[in-house]
Amino acid sequence: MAGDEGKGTGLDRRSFLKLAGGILGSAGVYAVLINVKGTAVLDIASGQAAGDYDPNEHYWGFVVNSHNCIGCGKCVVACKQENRVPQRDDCNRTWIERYHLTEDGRVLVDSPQSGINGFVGKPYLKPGEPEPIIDKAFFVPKLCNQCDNAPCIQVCPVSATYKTKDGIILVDQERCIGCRYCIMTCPYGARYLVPADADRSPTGNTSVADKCTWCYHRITKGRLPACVEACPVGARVFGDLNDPESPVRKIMRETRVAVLKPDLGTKPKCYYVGLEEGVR
Amino acid sequence: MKHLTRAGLILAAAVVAFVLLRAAILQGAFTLDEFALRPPNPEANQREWMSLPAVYGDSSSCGSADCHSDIYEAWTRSAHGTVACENCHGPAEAHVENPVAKVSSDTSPQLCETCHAQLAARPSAFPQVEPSQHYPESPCLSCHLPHRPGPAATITHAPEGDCLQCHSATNARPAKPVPINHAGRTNDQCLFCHEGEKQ
Repeated sequence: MAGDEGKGTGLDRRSFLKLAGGILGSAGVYAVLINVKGTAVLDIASGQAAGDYDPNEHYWGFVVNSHNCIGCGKCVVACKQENRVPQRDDCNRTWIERYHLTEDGRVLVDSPQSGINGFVGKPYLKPGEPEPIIDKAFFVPKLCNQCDNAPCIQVCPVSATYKTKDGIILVDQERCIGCRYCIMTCPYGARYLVPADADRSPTGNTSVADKCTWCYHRITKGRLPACVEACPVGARVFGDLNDPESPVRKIMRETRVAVLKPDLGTKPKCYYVGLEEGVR
Repeated sequence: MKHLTRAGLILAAAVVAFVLLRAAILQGAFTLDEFALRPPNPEANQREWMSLPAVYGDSSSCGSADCHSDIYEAWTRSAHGTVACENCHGPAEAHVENPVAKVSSDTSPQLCETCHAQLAARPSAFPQVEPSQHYPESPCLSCHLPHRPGPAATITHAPEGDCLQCHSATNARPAKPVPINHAGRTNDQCLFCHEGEKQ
């Protein structure tokens, strides 16, 4: 019966399958070609920006000297302008926290407007909270730690976040779908979502995750991050961990440093001088 | 043959319909780029981050010979020598590129207070005042020069009568000229701020 049918049409099952397979195969090749072409075009377009900077030669590190910080907020101002961070209190690549440790063991933390306008007066107290007797008080500037073992990279469902050869965690904001997993997972709160109605954005994209890049556009041209440039008291120090004579390595040799939340195993590259146990 | 032709036509129609429908959904695009489903290309993206323009210049850009070398020299030796120019004058990369783009000067007490207002969390060695008790009625700049801050200079020589005869801004004699914020001041005001041997 089957043989008769094949003869009747002049196209047997084998030929039909071959033909169908050929059509599907061509379509597959076509799709691959489109994708390859898309990527290649992108490469050429952005390749023009690359200078003679070699990421393999550097491995960047950051030191925050909490003893020096006066909480003036100039780093926050500089960062917002340099990186076109939206001018909203909930959008920050860097911020300053103020700690008051009280005699009765309380840790009072505040960061009004992320410290962009500096600090005034006494620590924030909840209504009815007893007036504290301050044991000690200090400022702690915060920024992305550019973790060697970054949780934000692991959770990104579209591989938009990646680590560069020189140790910086960057976000491909064309690729980011704004799902916020990385914002949730960062133990340091270093990420924020560029709001859809933002007045400005670092790369012109909105509804994408953004974070401190240690001013990648500056450090790759031999300049310092804007916050380091702006700090009047040397509380922020930037340098190459590969270079034993860099300011960062020098401080790490000469004084004792610590990282935030070392128990999480994220291996931050932001080293703090004068870190207190109450600081998280 | 006929039924296979029909099936082939239906298949062809389905393929065409799929392509058209897909194009409609993707708004004309035939690639997957618009859905960011292309393979990750961190190297390209890294170069995009590198190519972003800087907004902040560096203080070192300000001191070249045909720009602000005089004020730059005074500033580097002063107690404010670590305070970047742009902290008070705003981002200046555009001004460095083209001086026609002007920078601002923030001389408000609020700006001074972001660093110098008394706070428990500030290092105690850092110079601080309680703004409500430290001449709240006068602007900071009536006594303090931003590029050369600190207390008024002590008089180190014997009195010679009229201070402003020598210490005018224009006098050719080798005496320190009065700073720019002293315009319009008279001899009887000198001792309000300057201490020393003058009788």
